Amino acid sequence: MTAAVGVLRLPDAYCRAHASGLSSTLGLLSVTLAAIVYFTARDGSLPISLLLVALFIFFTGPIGAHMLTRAAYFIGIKQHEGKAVDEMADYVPPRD
Amino acid sequence: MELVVNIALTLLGFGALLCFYRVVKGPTIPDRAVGVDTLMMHVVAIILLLGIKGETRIYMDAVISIAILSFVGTTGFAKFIAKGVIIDRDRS
Repeated sequence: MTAAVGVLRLPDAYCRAHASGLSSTLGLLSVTLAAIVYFTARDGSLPISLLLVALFIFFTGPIGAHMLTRAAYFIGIKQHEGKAVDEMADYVPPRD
Repeated sequence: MELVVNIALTLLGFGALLCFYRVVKGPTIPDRAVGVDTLMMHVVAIILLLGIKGETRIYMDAVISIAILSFVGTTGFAKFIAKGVIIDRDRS
């Protein structure tokens, strides 16, 4: 059981911000679930702290990634050339 | 079981090395911040797997505190990048 879930964890081949924000959340959630299953099966009692960790990661992973990319946009990091659409430019005044 | 945990630990170590490379080499500041964030997530996962490997539950509280510290650090750094201040006092 732990084997099946544990294989899902992240080696994370790194496609910059987006990839790391999403795939690391998924991977860490998988590892936490594996630990919950393992300790529940071993001790017979549910580890409450690990449940808290899983819940916390589930909320904060995307929030952190979002805040970082938002900050990167605000200080004017250029998008790479192939992406021509900049939908946020209408809402955010360009910083000089 | 033991083999799977070992394989996972190896891959996580390799991923942490990649993140460290991004932190050192990253061309812009947000790249480095993302690298540190992902590195902390790798550290949390490695600690969890070490807890499974050593069959002990005493690492789990450390996991909680490291996860919370990672999130607070990432948020503070993002606000610092965006505005230059972390705690903005004007409530306008």
